[in-house]
Amino acid sequence: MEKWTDRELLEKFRNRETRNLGFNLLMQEYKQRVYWHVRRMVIDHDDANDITQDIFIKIWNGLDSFHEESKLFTWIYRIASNECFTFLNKKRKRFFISIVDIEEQLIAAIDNSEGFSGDEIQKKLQKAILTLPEKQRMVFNMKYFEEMKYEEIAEITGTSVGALKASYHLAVKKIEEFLEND
Amino acid sequence: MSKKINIEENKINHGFSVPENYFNELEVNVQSKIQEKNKGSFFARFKYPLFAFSSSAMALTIWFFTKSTPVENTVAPAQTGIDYVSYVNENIEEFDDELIYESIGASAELVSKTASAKDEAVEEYLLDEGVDEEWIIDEL
Repeated sequence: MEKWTDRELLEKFRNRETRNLGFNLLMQEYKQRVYWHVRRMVIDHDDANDITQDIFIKIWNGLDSFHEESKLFTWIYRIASNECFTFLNKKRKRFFISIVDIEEQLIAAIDNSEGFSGDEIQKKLQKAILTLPEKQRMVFNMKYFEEMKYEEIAEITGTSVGALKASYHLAVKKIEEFLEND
Repeated sequence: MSKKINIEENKINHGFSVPENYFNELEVNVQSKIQEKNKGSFFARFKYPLFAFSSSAMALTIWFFTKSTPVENTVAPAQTGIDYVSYVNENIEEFDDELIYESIGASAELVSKTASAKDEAVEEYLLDEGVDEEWIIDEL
């Protein structure tokens, strides 16, 4: 598959005649990354699917006003991260449940989910990750699974590289402790 | 004693899976949602002009049916320079009695009473003058 630069994708999107093509190319480029970013946060496939679709609709609506102050990749990830946090907050408010309880619900979703095909250690890892606070969980996912650079994560989250490094190492320590004691 | 785990050295995959063909369908689903929304926004674009147009049409209709009909081709007597009252007074013989009574709003009863009083006076005068009574009855 041909690799397109952000500039080329944007040019195609901004041209009326190639708008749909540009958006399709953008989706091909980012759909899997966005989906997995969301899925690791909300666990359930159906929720992740709904959120991912909403994210791409937001991207379609907002791409005209994207002025390239940041990279397209950063902008898309920022939208995706905000949508995840919004979803989790709404879920908490809708069912009047606390942060701890929602994490318990997500852990239960891993046990019951048909969309989880991992082995026992993978299941344990996911449960360990769910013990982390939401923002730390997102940082850990981006660094550990997506292998992003700290600089990229810093652009998305608006947090300093130093703070991210500290947060990540703390997360790794907590997870390892969880796995050792489980 | 628990064994030491190093998740960075021994990378563990996330373990989630998606339904078959999910990512191909995702693209189609997003595109159709966007098209649906665009359809909606196409009509929404004309919502305000349509509202303005229908309001104007309604206002125009109400105005058309409630406006007072303008009096056309009517010239006030003052504008013609003719004094109708003086004219009628000067040419009173030319006008029929009943028409005059009608124009001043007199009732039919009054008109007939006035007419019979007039006839009686004429009859009395003719009798005084020695005209034959039978002839008077025939004529009046």
